[in-house]
This record gives sequence, C-alpha cells and structure tokens, in this order.
Amino acid sequence: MTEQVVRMILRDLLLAALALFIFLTAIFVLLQVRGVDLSTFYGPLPSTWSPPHYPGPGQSVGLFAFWRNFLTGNLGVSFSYYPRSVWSVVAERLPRSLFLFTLALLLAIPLGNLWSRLFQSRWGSNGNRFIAIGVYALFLPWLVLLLVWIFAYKLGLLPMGKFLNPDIWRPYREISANAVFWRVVLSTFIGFAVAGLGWLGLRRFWRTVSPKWLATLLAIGMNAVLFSLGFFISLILYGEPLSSLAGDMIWHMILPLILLTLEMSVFYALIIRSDLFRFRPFGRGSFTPFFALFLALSFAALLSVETVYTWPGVGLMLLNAILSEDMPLTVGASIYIVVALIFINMAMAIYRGIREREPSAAQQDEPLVREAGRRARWPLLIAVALLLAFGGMVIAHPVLTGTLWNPQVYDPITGYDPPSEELLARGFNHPLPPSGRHLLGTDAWGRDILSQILYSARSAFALGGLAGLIATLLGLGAALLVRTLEKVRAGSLGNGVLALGCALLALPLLPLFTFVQAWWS
Amino acid sequence: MELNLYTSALWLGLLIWPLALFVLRGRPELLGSTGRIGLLKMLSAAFLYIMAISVGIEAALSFYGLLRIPMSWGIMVEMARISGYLVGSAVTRYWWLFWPARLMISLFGFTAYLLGWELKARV
Repeated sequence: MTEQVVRMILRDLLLAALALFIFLTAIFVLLQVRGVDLSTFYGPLPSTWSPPHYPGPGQSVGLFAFWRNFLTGNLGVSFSYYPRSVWSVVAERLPRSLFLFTLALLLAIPLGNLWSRLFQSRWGSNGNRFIAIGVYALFLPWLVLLLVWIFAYKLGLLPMGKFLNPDIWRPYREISANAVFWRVVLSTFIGFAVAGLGWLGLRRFWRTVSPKWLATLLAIGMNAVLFSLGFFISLILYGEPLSSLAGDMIWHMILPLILLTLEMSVFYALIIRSDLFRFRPFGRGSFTPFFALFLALSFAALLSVETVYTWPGVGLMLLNAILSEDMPLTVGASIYIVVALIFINMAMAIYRGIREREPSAAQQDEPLVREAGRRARWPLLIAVALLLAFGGMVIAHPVLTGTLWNPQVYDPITGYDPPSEELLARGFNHPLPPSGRHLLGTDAWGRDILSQILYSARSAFALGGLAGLIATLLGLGAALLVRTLEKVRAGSLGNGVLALGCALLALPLLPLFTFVQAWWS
Repeated sequence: MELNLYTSALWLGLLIWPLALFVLRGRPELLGSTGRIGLLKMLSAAFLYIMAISVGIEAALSFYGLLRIPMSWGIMVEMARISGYLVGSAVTRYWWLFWPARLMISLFGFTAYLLGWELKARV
C-alpha cells in the first residue's frame, strides 16, 4: 500500500517535471521561430542587477541557458516595471492569486459536487439535463453579476474593487502590503489547522449522530466555527495596526472569492459529468484531463474576476503586460502561471490517489448521467429552435440592411445616426435609449445596437464553426489514430497520443492564448 | 500579424482539439464501420461543445481587447467597458449597452451545449 503510494507520488512528480520541460522547450522554440532575441529581455540591465546565466548583450541565449534561467528565476527585466526583474514582479503578485485560487478551489469542489448531485438525483433525466445546463450556462453566471450588483452597488456593503483601501493604509507607510498579506495567509493556515484538529478529534462523534445530513451539517458548522476562531484570534494577536490592515485586505477579498468560487463550482459540476472524468492515462491518481481542463477554465475565471475587480493579482498583471507589449513579463508570467497550475494539478492528483479506492466493476459500468424513464423530446426541440433563431439572426442582418436599414445609419461598425435637434435640445446624446428608430438603442458612438447584435451572430457562427471544424477534424483523426494503434497492439503509443491531448488541455487556454497573441503580433 | 476572426479561430481549433478527441473516446466502438449515424451525432456533439466554448473564449479575449474582430458580442461588451458604461450605476442606467450582448453570449453557449448534450445522449 505505502510502496504503491510512494511510487505514485514519484511518478506524478516525474510527470510534472516532464510537462514543465516540454512546455518550457515549446515556449523557447516558439520564441526562436518568431526571431525574438532573448538577450533583449535582459537589456538594458539596471546596474544593480547582473543575472548569472546571461551571456551578455547581443549574444544569443540557448535552450540550456533558458532552462537554467527559468529555474533560477532569471527571466529578464520587465519593461513596464523597469528596473524590476520579471521574477520580483511575479513573486509579488503570484502568491496573492494562488491564495485566492486555492481558497476558491477548496470551496468550489464540494460546492460543485453539491450542484452535480442536486441535479442528478432530484429531477428525472428529462428535466435534469435541461435544468442543469440552464443553471450552469444561464443562471449562475448571471447570479454572479446580480451578487455584485446587490452587495457592492445597491447595498454598498462590500468594496467594488481594488486590493486595499488607501485611506486606511496611508498613515502606515513603513508597512508593506505583502507583509500584511503573508500574515493573512498564516492566519488562514492556523484556521485550517484548528478546524482540521477539531475534525480529527470529533470524527468518531459525528458518526454516532443519527440522520446523516444532520451530522454533515453539524460537522460543517463546527468546522466553520473552529476555522473562524483560529483565523480571527490569530489576526487579533498581530496587534494594531496590522490587524485592521489585514481586515481591510480580507474585506476586499470577500466578493472576488465568492464570485470565483461560484464560477469554479459550475465548471467543476459541468466537467465531472463528462467522459473525460474516467480517463486516467497513467493509472491511479494521475493527472486527468478533466481536472486539467477544470483548472484551465478556473484560471480564466480568476483572470476575469481580477480584471473586473482591478484586484492586483498575477492575471491582471499578465493582461497589463500584454497590452503594454512587455514581452519579458508576458513570457515570464505565462511560464510561472503554467508552472503553478501544473503543480496544483499534481498535488490534487496525489491527494486523489491517496484517498481513492479502486472503483468496483459495478461503479465502472455505471453511467455518469443516470437516465430515468423515457427521454423527452422538448429539450432537443428547444435547442434546435434556439439554434434556428440564431441562424435567423445571421440571415436577418443582410436582409434588413438591404430593405429597411440605411447602411449609413445602421451599419454595425461605421454607422452613425446624428441625434435630432430636439433630442440635443433636451440634453440627450449617444448612447440613446431604445426607441422606434433604434429598437435596442445606440452605443456611445451612435451605432445601432440591434444591428450589432444581429451582425455578431455571424461572427459567433464563423468563429465557433471554424474552430469547431478544425478541432473536430483533428480530434477525429487522433481518435482514429489511437484506435488503429490499439488494433495493432501498440496501445501504449495510443496512450501517448491521449496523454498529449491531456497535456494540451492542461495548458490554461487563456494565458496560453494571450501568449499566442503576443507571439503572433 | 493580428489575431482576426479567422486566425483566432485557427489557433483555437489547434489548441482545443483534444476535447473532441475525448468526446469521441467516450464511445470508441462508434469509430468502427458500423454506427455511421451514431458517429455523426458524436462528431456534431463535439463540434457544438467546441462552438460553445470558443464563443465564450472569444468573448473573454475581446473583453480584454486582445482580438481584432470587427464586431462581436464580446467586442460590444468591451466597448461598453472602455467607454465607461460598466461602472457603478451606469450598468443599470445604460442597460442596453451591456445586457443584450451579455445575454446573447450566454444564450449561444447554452444553445450549443444543450444541443450537443441532447445529440450525444441519443447515440
């Protein structure tokens, strides 16, 4: 048993290291192909800093130097934070994001399991699918927006953004934000430790409580109380002004944490239903494409939460680095983000491997989504009707432009409708609210919103269709290849193809895409 | 070179194809000579899932101003953002700048995903 676990841990560590080096090499090759001179990342160097593995201005940085530089944290100087090194900027921002991400991950997994179980057992399969997809795709993303609107804007209870309130921090110039941040992290650890000890101590007792749901509820409540005790008492023990500054920082973290947790729980609930969940390319407890995809999507959610809240984590920094064409920071941040996600994935794989028992044969045959009774037709009909409606939008735009709409006014990109004298006299200008002339109003530049909405359906179909076509063809080719390999008894080669697929899915798509964007242009 | 509609679709397709692979791996027996209609349904499901995801990704990337697409729902949301209509009370007062486009993104993803799911369940 223990020997098996040790082997599993060693294998997962090896896999993580392998994934890392493949990723680094791919980045290096991509940069070389594009003709990016890595030595420019190090120059003009500030006089205070001389990286050990830097051959000097104008001399090319080879693959080994690139690896070594990465391992020793030398990825050049950030242009936008000059003269700070990429590593120092990332080291300041990454822990914050990781902290938020890890907390949200710990909360999102049980919550996602709850969503999944709720829809799996309560409703029959007919309503189940429809409601589940509706909740995941429509309700929860809007709930997130609603929460922001109610708590932050309407009630004014929680701050709308930023990391901290400068008014509170101004008198304490000698205290750095990160010193307080690390104390918050420490307090969280203490809270978890206290709750964990309480859990271990009372584990026997909870088993004796008779209704199981009551025991679960009581256990959760008890752990929450213990966590809060450990957390808040340790915070108070830091003494003023550190306690109140930490409180301010936590206060700014609540809404981002709730939103990220909600979004991540949705992704989790969606993905554990998929067939990806079953596939373990390297046996028990190894990386699964399902978890990799979940992490990648979650990182996209983190990026959006950080942007919406201007919460200065690594995602926001990456975005700013791309927009200001700070190539060293873009490359550095992308690499370290991927590294962090690979290691989270590895840690979760090891945890799962230690916890999980071998599934029984009955469990393996059990369908992921239970089908109860006859399958109703109406969800399919609704989906087809909606798709036809979107298709109708694609057709409607050119038809309307040809008949009713004057292109000078209604063109989605170049149109402009000069507001009438009467409207101007009443103090109205663009964006104008919906009226008979513009059924959905106009945007800030005086263009018709309805026209833009209709025109955009075409963009969505073109982009989604082309991407879908390419990906489906490649996926079909790969599936056929794997099948052929399995037929000629070269199944391990086939597993290699599947593992490559896992590795690709494991790359967080959004930072990767931003890297592609920076590299491409 | 800029990431326009077609190049970004190309990149997206090149990065996300394993999803189609794993959807197809869910029913490996369909790849044989029998079950052409079943295979077609699985392929459509994979296609629709990727369509749903790519519109979401497009919206996210457009929101950050990283794509050069003339007009899309994501671009509409981004324009509402950069002209300052997503801050504070403006979100509700100038609702037509943000909510219709956001609703379309949600609905499109919902439609494609639901259709894919239903097709896959009927194999």
